[in-house]
Amino acid sequence: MSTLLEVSNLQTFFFTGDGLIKAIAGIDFTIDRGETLALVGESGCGKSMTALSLLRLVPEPGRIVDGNILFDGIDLLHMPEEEIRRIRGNRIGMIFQEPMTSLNPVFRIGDQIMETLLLHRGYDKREATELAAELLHKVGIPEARQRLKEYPHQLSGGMRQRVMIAMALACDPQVLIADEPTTALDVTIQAQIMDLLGQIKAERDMATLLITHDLGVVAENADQVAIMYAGLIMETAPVKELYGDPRHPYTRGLLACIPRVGERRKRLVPIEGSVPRAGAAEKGCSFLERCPETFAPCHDKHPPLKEVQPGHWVRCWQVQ
Amino acid sequence: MSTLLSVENLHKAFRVSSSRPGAPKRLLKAVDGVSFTIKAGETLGLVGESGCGKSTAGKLLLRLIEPDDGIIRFDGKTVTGMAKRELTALRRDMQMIFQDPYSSLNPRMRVGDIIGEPLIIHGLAKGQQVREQVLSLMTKVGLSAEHFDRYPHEFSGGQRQRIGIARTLAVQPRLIVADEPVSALDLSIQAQIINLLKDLQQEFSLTYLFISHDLGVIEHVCDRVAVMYLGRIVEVADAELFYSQPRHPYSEALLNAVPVPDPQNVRQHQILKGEIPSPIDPPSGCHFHPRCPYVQEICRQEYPSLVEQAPTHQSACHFSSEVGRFRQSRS
Repeated sequence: MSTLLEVSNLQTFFFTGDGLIKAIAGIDFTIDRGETLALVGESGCGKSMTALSLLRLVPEPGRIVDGNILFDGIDLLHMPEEEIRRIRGNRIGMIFQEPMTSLNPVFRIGDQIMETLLLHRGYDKREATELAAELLHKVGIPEARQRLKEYPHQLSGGMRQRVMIAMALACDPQVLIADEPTTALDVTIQAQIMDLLGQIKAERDMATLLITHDLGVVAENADQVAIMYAGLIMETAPVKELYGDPRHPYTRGLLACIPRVGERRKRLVPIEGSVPRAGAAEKGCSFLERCPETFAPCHDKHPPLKEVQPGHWVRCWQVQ
Repeated sequence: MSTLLSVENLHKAFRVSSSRPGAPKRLLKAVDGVSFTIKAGETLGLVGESGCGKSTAGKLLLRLIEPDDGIIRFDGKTVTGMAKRELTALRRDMQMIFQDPYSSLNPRMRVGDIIGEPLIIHGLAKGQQVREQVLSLMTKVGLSAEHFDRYPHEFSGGQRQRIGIARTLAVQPRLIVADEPVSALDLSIQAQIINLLKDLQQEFSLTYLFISHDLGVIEHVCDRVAVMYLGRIVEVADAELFYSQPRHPYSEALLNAVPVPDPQNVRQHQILKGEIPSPIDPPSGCHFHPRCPYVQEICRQEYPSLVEQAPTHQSACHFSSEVGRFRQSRS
């Protein structure tokens, strides 16, 4: 497999009235063709901001201040705005958590899917309509042709998410960014959508950046996992290794605190303290306050990432 | 254990306007003939997907919404039909915890006043006593005294949920209806709140109706589980029985759809066909029949009643004894 997306030292800061917030404080990862990387973390850890940074859609007062993003050998960060527009929604597709906020309520579904086809692919209206109907059928929407004429509010949550997927796939992207694609959905519908994404990925050899907080979804769908905390990747490894041999205290804490089905336990083991606001700690390890295993070096400096096994990186003083 | 709460044949329908202007309003049967009991000191989990009526059922118990029909009894007293004054007194015994800790606290009130307000309303304390009791409640839920004069926006989601729980506890309730109390919280915080709720149950002999869509959370919290689908209860069982041997095809499908956080044992999901139908126009016969792998002709015509399949295990399915057939043939 070859590397399709390479992110190095990405830093996205927010310059707010209350001061500087380092939403992403320098992260590195790569995604190969056909591979799914899951970016896992809790609210405010910077995982969604990473998705927006990849597409250069960081909202004000945020800005990408440093780093490199190479996509299929192209430098995404330093190309003119017009050129990245040709990549966004075309070679890199996106799905967001809440389909209702990403679909335009006053346009018909058909027109929204066709927009990308008309814009990026230069189809005429008839060809685009044909293809849009085909896409809806592909993502499991019955009576696709009639649905093209409907508005988003006429569809259920699961159906809207399918429409979002159809839109994202319209231009046959090489990378799909899926930000919490099933979080707003019921569990039986979540199973349907993840199954659909899996099929599409296999058919098209598409690379996926799957952003989620659900460790069950990750276990079943990811090849690689990166655990984010306060703007940094704390641990990254192939999925089986990460679950089988977690090295970072935060990863271990997350895996221990899930109330798993089929494993009735007397008491859950929570991670103490609260989830930090984006980019909090300046001195010492950002997980310091909640870590059960601290020792002297943790208070002074933030640990660097260290490779403990081939492909398994950990940001913790214990493994240095 | 004695029965603390019993619900018989509870009904609630809402009138909803049609999407077509001018069309007549239609009836949405949110809760359509629900019966269950909760014993003192136990936790009953009410599970289901969005729109199944589980939150409405919770609010009906406290008469935060008025039921159309049915009987609710709490500790021997009939709650349905109770006069307002009596109901206010009863609400001391029956309290609710809400899902969203961001919208259920008044942003203009200080934390100490939020927690102390029910004490004053119910005339349980005054003056200096209020402050003392509030401080003691804050300690119980893991907040410190320095939080007394702060405002809700200064707290994280988990701490806000602690504030909400302290306010609920202030009136020393016996039954708490907890409606998705941890769904809005981050994973690492969920476990803290679940443990807190369990500790408080021990300490104050609380009885919970725990409403959630998360089968993992339910399993860790509940003694018994009731599953709702389109306004009706389709299965009730002891938690262990429910998780090891569900007797309704919908319960089986729900359990099967939960992704397991173990990449070494990725299982094939039995993907349920179709959408959750609209509760405005539910399918004929058994509401689950269009999605059910065990469906037969009778399911399209007759709604199966909730009957005892085994001790402490009820389900509403014509083919209850066959549930598990597909599971076994797959493995």
